[in-house]
Amino acid sequence: MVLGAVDAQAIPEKNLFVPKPTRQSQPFWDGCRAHRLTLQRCTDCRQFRHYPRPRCPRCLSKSVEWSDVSGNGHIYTFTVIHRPPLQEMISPYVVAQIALVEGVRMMSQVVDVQPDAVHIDMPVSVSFVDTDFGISIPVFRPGHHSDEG
Amino acid sequence: MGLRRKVAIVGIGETQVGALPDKTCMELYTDAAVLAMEDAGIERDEIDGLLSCYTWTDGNLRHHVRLAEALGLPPRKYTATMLQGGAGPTAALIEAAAAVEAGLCDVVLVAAGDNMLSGWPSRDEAVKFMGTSDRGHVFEFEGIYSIPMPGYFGLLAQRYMHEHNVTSEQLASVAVTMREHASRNPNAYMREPITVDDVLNSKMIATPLHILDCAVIADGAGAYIVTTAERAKRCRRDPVFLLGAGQAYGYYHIADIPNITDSLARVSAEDALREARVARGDVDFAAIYDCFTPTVLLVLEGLGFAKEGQAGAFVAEGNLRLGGSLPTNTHGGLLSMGHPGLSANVFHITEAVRQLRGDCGERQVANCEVALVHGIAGLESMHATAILGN
Repeated sequence: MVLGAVDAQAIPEKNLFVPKPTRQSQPFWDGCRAHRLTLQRCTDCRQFRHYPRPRCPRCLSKSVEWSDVSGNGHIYTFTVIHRPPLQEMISPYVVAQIALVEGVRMMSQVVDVQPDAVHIDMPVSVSFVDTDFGISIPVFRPGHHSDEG
Repeated sequence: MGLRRKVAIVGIGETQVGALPDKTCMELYTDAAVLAMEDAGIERDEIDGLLSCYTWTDGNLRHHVRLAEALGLPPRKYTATMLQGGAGPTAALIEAAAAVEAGLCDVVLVAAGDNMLSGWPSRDEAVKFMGTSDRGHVFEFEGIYSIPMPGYFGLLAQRYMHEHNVTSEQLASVAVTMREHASRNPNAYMREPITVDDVLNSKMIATPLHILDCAVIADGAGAYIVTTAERAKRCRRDPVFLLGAGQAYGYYHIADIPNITDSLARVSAEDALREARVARGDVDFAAIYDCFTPTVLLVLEGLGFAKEGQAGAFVAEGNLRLGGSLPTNTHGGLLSMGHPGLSANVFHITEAVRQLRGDCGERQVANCEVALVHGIAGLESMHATAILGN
């Protein structure tokens, strides 16, 4: 096996692969399974962080809690994929960096919208793709969840 | 850093770059290594330092020891496998210089080879690998969204084009220039000239990148030999001195980039230019890692050769061509000479050495005295800049 090669389960019809949670990331994926977007938050300096890591990148504290977030954000940048990594996948689809209102960014896909209509700064909110593998994967769709949500 | 004019590159080697299905990766590696020794006039047994720049198709963590074995060269004093991705060859130059200057060894062979074109069972396997590998960490939160390699750079490019008035035509002009340069390089893979329209009409891979905005996958290897300024006096050719160097590292995931359009090249270049005591206007030739067309624009701005948002116009106006204000990648770069995997940055170095020696023939930069070489790894997260002079 080549260093860094990943033996990943693909879900070609969704243009997704199944992630393998680690001990560190398990609470994130547990949240996704329950359709909640939950992030690490430093209890010392209150900074949210994503992707999960052992210490706060701002103050280096190890004191952390998992905290549900709104799921709202906007598109920081995106790209429309026309040549997927696996031939069986169905293109085009939209991959994007989402800037969450809580101040962190994450990678995802933007769904329920024509690729031509996607633009930077577009408001989006999280939705979850359930898979047959015990994992639900966060994606984003246009519009924000209301505060009463 | 204090390396200015202390060490020199005294030999270079380069295989043909292109479709080489009959050559194994190790054969490419050793061919380049032997060519470098011959060029330097250095015997195999004088080499006491060895740096391998690893390989995608044939790598393992102790590749340097495998390479030493294949060359019949016991790694005597100082040896390692660089894991700096595409920046390996430039990072290796800094490593080799530091080791020689510190007295750990006297003569270092640096080699970089790969064969992504022929080394995988099929093109689909290669594309799958590049979309799912080395992303063992990135994969869990980013790769799961099925992002081919160009997709990551499409994300960077799209933001850059949003913040500044950069056009697809300007991206394409990078590719056109690289192809024009490769047409004068017999070792390059793709040599037929192309136009901006050819690029824009080529297959879209991940917006805004068409296939001709992307490096061309190939097979090939290069090598160079570094030694002390003193030892360099007894080599076959005039030495090419290291004047200054710098490196910069940032994030791992794209989500952690504070500002996508602020290239870390800015940091590595500041250190390199300061140590070299060279002003940007003194640079006669640049060799910039060109995995994708927008990368060149972002790096030109980071290096300070174009103002923020202006690199597209800078390239479209012809400044990277021979006779322009900053001849760049006269060998054709990754975009046209070829991108074997982890070795391509070595060709920036061999071309810089050739330019400084005056060996480039019809692609020679007149009065070439100072060259800047820049390597990039990961998702533009690792940068290495070296300034060379004759």
